[in-house]
Amino acid sequence: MKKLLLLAFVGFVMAQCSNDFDVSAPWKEVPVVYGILSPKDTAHYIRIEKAFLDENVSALEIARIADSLYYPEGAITVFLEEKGNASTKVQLSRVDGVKEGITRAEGIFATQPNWLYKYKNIGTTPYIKPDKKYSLIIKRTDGKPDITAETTIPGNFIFQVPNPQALPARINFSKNGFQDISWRTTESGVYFNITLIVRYRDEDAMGNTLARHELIWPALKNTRRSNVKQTNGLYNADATLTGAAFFDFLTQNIPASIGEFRYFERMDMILEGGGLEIEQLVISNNINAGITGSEASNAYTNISEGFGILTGKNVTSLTNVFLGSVTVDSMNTNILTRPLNFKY
Amino acid sequence: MKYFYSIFLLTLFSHTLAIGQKGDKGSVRGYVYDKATAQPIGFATVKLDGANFGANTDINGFFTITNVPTGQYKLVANYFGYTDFNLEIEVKKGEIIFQNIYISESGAQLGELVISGKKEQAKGEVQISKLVVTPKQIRSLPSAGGQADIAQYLTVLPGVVFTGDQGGQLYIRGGSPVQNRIMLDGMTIYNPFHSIGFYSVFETELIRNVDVLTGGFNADYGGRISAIVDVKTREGNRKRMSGLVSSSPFLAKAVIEGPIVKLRDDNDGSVSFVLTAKKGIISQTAPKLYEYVNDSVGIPFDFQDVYGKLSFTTGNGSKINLFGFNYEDGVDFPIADFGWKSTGGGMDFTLVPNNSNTIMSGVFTYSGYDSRIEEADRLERTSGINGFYAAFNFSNYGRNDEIKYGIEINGFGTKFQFVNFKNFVIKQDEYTSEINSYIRWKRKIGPLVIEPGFRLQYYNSLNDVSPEPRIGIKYNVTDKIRLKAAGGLYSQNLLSTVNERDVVNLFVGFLSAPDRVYEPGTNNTVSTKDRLQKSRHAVAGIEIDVAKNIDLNVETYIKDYSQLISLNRFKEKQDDPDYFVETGKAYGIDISGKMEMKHAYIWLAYSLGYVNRYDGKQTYPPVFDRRHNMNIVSTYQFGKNESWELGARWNLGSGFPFSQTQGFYSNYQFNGGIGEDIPGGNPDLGIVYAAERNGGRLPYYHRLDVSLKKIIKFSKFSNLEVTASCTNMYNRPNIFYFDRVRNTRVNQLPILPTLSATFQF
Repeated sequence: MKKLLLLAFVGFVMAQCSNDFDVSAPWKEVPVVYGILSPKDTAHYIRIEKAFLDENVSALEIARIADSLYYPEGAITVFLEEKGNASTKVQLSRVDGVKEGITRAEGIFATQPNWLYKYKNIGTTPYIKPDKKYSLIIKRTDGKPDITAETTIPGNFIFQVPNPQALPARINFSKNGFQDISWRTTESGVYFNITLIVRYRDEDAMGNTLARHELIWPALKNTRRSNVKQTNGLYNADATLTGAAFFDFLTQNIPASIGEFRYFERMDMILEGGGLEIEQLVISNNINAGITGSEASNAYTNISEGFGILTGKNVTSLTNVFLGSVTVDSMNTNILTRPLNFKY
Repeated sequence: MKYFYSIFLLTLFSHTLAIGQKGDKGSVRGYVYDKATAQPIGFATVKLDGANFGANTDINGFFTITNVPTGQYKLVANYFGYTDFNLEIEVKKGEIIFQNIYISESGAQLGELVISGKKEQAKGEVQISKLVVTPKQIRSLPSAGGQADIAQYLTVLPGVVFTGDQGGQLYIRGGSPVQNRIMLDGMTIYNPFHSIGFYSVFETELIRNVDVLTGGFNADYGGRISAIVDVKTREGNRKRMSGLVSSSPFLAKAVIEGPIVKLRDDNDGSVSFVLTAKKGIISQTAPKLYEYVNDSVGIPFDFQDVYGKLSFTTGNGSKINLFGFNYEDGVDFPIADFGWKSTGGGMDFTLVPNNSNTIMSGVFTYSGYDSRIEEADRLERTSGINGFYAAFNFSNYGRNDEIKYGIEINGFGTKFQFVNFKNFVIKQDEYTSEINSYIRWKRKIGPLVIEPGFRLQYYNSLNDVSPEPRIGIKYNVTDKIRLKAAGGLYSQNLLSTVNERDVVNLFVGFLSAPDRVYEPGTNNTVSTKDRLQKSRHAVAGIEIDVAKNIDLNVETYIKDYSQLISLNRFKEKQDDPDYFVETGKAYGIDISGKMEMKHAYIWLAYSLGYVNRYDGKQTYPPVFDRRHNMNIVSTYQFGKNESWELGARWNLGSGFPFSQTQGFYSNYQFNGGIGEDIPGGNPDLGIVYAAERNGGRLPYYHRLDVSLKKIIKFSKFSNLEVTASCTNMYNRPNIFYFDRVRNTRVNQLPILPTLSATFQF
């Protein structure tokens, strides 16, 4: 009898032990918003999604279902306005990026449709203006609070080196040398990328042009401005490009000469600067890459609830930059770049 | 503070504290050994016949009877299952008689007298939050994988929580592994458990006893804020060559031991050795025997342990041991490749002076531990800790008093390195040293046993002294009911970088004294001296001898972790401190009962525990907070000469906490800066964790293990032990981990039948 009771007890305890559990917290809407506003764009796109969750299906499978990523049509209305100027308030339209020629790259998430919220400039007048603060307002039709975000667009950047007043502006690279770049920015321009559009032509021995080429060199990423405000209200920023990096880029992207002669043509230097939000996000990512990475909190966001960032950027280009003879001389003494057969 | 410390040390070593015999009296002391093996016998009764003087031997077989009036006595020693020992002695004024006692087995089984000896000892010692584990107990447990091991036995003790069959960690009354000190003959072992979780580095055959101090421990232990596990090994056979070879699908092992200088006369000296080696073979046998386990992954655990000891013992009980070890472990899961290596060595000694009541012991060791893990993302983390430890201990015995004091010097360096997802190498190398001293005094006053203690921990790298009073009290209410209580302050300067979100929680990065630490919930950094981790313990309990062979022990405890150093998960800027302070509490009640009969043994332990942490923003349960934990262990011997033994163990544990998933999202990381392509990019998958930390609970864990053992005797010393065992008898699918992204669950080990054999000679 005692044994039976014991068995019954064990059976009872085991029966009580459900082996199921809830890996997911109760459903909660988590908006995910990303947008970069630029005065140089003619159309402005904001990506608005929501976090998804399914208790029974792999997240990788759900991520392939577009309907699970986006708010359904009519669930939200999206507005942009210049802060403090209600008359500038405009509504963004829901568009399929695919139909606009913006196809999402292959990856974890569904590529079609690629729902975005768009506002197109009217005529040639830019809607987004430098140094202005803009608000994004997402109204939810189910009565939940608005989702909001704000950002200030960086002012136009002013090149110092190379000197844009010099005609032409000039830079030089040598094997072990450096080329300094410096510029000035308003307070809201914080993080910068520098890109060089490198152009060259092929000629035959008679001096006939055989072909013209254009290469895009992403020379620097995430360069930060100084924190010291100058008397003119601007901030200085500088960066250094190395000759070695430039030559590496050339050897990786230009095939060795098979007899043709090559000549550099004028280059463009493009300076892209982003808002403080980019810096905050990159810093929070870096923290997650540090010793506390496994325990660090979620990534930075300036969206009132949820994840993502709204930020502004500006772009200033310096065109017709002249590449000095030092560069070509140095290339011709370098065992790696000599086969490219650049001449001056 | 340094002045205060110096005064304490001077006081400690002044012999004004010495207690001992009165001028016109003498003492009798010695060891009780098994005549055949020369191994010490614990809990034997030694008395002076015709006088009210006696003592029980401790686990080392040592006894001392002090303040004996001069005269002729008959020294009697007995232990059930052994022939009695009688010797006429004459106690002279001021003299100490040293007498080794060798007794022979009579063939009867262990029984009432042992129980009686243990109960006498229970009356005279506080024994709160202290569990003494013997090799016999370890071997009686139905062993997972067919080989008995302390790692499996620890999990059946009240207050001990083990987080899994594979890659589990040991938590003791709310203390994480780094807060529990595991010692082998005085040496700290930083990772004593192999990754498979069934086996420790300790060789069961070599263990003399294991003291598990789950809280409220006295001043002779320190440097950790939660618990102590003190493993002591025996010497090699001093009389003859002996050993064993053993094999199971999980591991193969061999032990060889014997005399180099044989013990010839009972009061003679000897030199002996013991060498043990074991190797995990489950990764090779699993594809053939357990193809169904872990799908195609198998059971990819490897380990090998080698330990050697050389013992020099004199006729009066003084001894020196030299020892060394090399332990290695490795596991190769698809999601993580993990391995560690631990090496070390040292010596310990015990001096038993002929004309003093003070016994001196000491230990000098050096050990190193290196581990590395490479996860599916191929980013490597490595951690190393190595250092020395030296200690001198003095024990002084009186009739109703016992005083123990000592000093320890401890120095260690930690090296931690990992590669983050941006391929940056992050390194942290530190060195620290500690000088610690303690005094512990035990006094019996009628039915009361009081045991005050005081410990000073001096942390050199922090220039900080931590004065730590301790106390233990026992009151023998009746012959069968004993009340007890203990408490104290504790500190430590070692922390770990265990990642609670690791899928397989194998890797522990050791660190000491971080440079800067935030106060909880603030942006204020704490001062240099406050970087210690601290706790306060209070324990109260009752022991009841329900019947002659049934004991019940109930203890309630609280551990207040007033300062814990943790990774700063609220770090917002790169130059913010990597660490911050948390506080926490662990409290609960542990109930254990055992019934020892001639042929059967039943052990039942239940723990109700609560553990929480406060990080300045929320109070949350850590990942090892198990509310209910119950273990039932039973063995039954039967057949001719009790050569058959049937064993069963059932464990039930409530689910561990974890942070639930709130959702998944497109996670643009802006690694390319402002050039990020928002409209056309396809970023990484981000996980949104629920705001409530560890708000979810895994399902209950339960598992039944059974074993059937047969001993076939060939001669007095040789036998074959064959064990058939079955782990997870009813194939409970206990959860191992859950892959949130793929929504797949991986379970712990399923039903595992094993057959093992051990030949002893």
